[in-house]
Amino acid sequence: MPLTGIYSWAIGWAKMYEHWVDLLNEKGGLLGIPCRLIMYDSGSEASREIANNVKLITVDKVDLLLGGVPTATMIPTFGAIDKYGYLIMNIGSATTKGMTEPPFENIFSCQCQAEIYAWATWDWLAHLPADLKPKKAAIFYAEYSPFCADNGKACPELARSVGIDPVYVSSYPAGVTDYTSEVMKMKDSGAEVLILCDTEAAPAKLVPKAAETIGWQPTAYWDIQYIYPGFEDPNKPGSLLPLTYYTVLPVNHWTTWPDPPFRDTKLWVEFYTKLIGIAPNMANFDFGWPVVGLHVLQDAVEATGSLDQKVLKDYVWAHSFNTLCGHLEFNEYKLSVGWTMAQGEITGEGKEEVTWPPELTTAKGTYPRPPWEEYM
Amino acid sequence: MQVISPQFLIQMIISGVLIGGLYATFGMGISLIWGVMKVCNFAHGAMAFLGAYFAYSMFVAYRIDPLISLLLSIPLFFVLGVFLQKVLVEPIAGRTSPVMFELVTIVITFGLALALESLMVVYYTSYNRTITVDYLGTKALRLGEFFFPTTSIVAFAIAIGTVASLFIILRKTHVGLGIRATSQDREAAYLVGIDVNRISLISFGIASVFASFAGISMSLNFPLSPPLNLLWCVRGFIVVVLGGIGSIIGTLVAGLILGISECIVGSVIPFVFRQLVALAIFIIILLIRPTGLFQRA
Repeated sequence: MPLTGIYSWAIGWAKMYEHWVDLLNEKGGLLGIPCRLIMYDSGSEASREIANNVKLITVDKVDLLLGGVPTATMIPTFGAIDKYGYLIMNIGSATTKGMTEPPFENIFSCQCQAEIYAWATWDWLAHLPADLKPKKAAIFYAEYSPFCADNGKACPELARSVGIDPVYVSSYPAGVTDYTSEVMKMKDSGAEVLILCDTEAAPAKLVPKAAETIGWQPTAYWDIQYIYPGFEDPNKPGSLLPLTYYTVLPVNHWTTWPDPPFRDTKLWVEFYTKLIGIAPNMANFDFGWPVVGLHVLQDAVEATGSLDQKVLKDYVWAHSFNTLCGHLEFNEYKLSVGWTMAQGEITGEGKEEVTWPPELTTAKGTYPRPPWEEYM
Repeated sequence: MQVISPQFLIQMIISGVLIGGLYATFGMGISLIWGVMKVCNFAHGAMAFLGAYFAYSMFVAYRIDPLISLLLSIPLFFVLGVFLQKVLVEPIAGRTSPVMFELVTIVITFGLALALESLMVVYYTSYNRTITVDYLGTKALRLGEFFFPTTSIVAFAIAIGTVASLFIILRKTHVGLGIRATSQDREAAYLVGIDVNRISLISFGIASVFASFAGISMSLNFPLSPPLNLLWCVRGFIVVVLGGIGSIIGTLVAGLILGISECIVGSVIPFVFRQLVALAIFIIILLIRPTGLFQRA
C-alpha cells in the first residue's frame, strides 16, 4: 500500500485492511487459523510495489495476497507478479485496457471500470428540466493517471449520448502549477459545466481558483478526485470545506440501502465513521472498495475451505458475491460487472447524499451549483 | 499550435511572472547553501513544507494570518537551520574530498527530506490542508482585461522581499561579506581570518528561513500534502541551475523564465506537453550556457 508519497491517501484503506483482520480474529480467524497482516509501504512507486509483492510471495510466503492501490502502480505490479499464481482481488485497477491487454491469469478487478465512472452525473444532467439542462461541457482529465485518462476519454461520448456537446476536451500532465490558460479556453468555448477527472488535490483546488480569478462560473462541476475526505476546513479542523457542493462522488449502491443485505455493514459503517470523521451514507469509493475484495476472498476461502490459489480462483470466477458494494460477479476478463453508478454529493455539513438515479435519491442534486466564493 | 490573442498572451505572462516568483523563492535558499557550502540540500522542499504547515497550524489554532507566521518563522527556522548544519553537515566537512562531500550531503539531505516527510505525514496525515485567506478584500484584482489573483500577488511580493533581503545581507553586512568570500574560495576566506564554520552556520540558518518563506508563499495558493515536497524542491534546483549557482538575480530571472515559459507554451501547444516543453527550454539554455544564465555572485 502507498503509506507515503502522492497516493498516501490510501492510509485509510490500509486501516480498513487492519480492521478486517481484527474482525476475522475476533471470530477465531480464517478457517480457524488466526490471521496476521503484513503490509509494506510502496512509497507510491510502482517499482517498490513490485518489490514488496515479490517479497510477500517469496520471502514471507503469505497464504493470501491482498490487492493494493492505485491503478498507476498496481497495473505494472500485476504484470510482474501474475506468474506466481496468487489470486488477487484488486481494488485499484479500474482501467479496462490495463486489465485486458493482455488479460491476467490470476487477478480480478473489484472496481467498476473507469469508463462508466461519470455515467450517473451525465445522466443526471440530461434529466434536468429543459430550461436548465446544459448544452455544452468542458472535460479536463489527468493524462498521467490511467484511471483518470480512461474516464476522461470516455466522457465526450457519454456527453454526446445525453445530448450535451463536449466543446472543450483536454488533458494535463502532472505537476502543473497554473491552469489559467486552459480555464480561459473553457470559458471562451462556451462550456456551461466542467467535468474534471483527477485523483490529486492540486487540480481540484487550482482549476476552480483559476476559474474564479477570470470570472468563469460553470453551472455544475464534477470532480472524480473526491475519493477521500479532501479538503479540511481550517476553521473547523476535521470538517470539510463547503467546496463539497462541487465535488460529486461516483458511488455504487445496493437497492436496499440503508439496510443492505451485507452481514457486517453496521460494523464497517461505525469503523469508517470513526476513522474518517464522516458517516458514509452509501457505499462510496473510499468506504466500500477497500473492503469488497477482502470479502470476496473471505467468502471464497470459507466456501471452499481451502487456501489453494487455483481452487480459490476457480470459485471466485464461477460465483457471484454479496458485498458491501452490492452484488458482484466477474466476466471473462475477470472484470467485475453489473455496477450501476449513482451520483453522490456531499453537503456543506459533511453529509453524503445520493442525488441520482431517482429510485435511490436521499436528497435533490444541487443545480446550479453555488458560486465559487462559497466553494473557495 | 493554436493562435492566441495578444490579451491572452499578456495574461499568460502575468500568470507566469506570478508563479515564477514562487519558483525563485524556492531557489534562493538552495542557491545560498550550494554556492557557499557546496551542499545540495534536497531537504529544502521538506523544510519549506514544514514552514507551510507551521503557518497552517497558526492559522487553524489561533487564526494568525500566514504573513504574520512568516515573521514568526524567522527565528524558529534560523535556529533549525543552524541545528541541522551543526548535526548533519559539519561532522562530515573536511573529512572527505570536495566531490565526495557534495555526494554525501546529497544523500544525507535526501534522507532528511524523507524523514521530515514521514514526520509530517504522521502528524498532519496526507489529507490535503488549505489555508483560505483573502487579501485586499478580493480573490483577484482586475486591471482592464487582465486578472491578478491576490494570493499570487502576495506570494510574488514575498519573492521580491526574499531577493531584496538576501541582496542586502550579502552586499551591506559584514556577514554578507563573509558569505561572499567563503563562496568564492573557502580556504582563502579562512586564511584571511573569516570564521568559515560560523559563516556556514549562518548561511544554513538563512537558507532555512528562506525555505519557510517559500513554503508559506506556496501555502497561500496550493493545497498542502507532505509528499509534494520533493517536487517543489526539484523546481527550486531547476531555477538555481538555470540561473547560475550562487547568483541571486540569476535565480530570480530563471524562476520567471520557467514560470512564463510554462504558461505561454502550455497555451499554444496541447496542454499535456506543457511541462515537457518548459523543461526542454531549460535544457537548451544549459546546453548553450552550462554555468547558467548569470555569473555567480
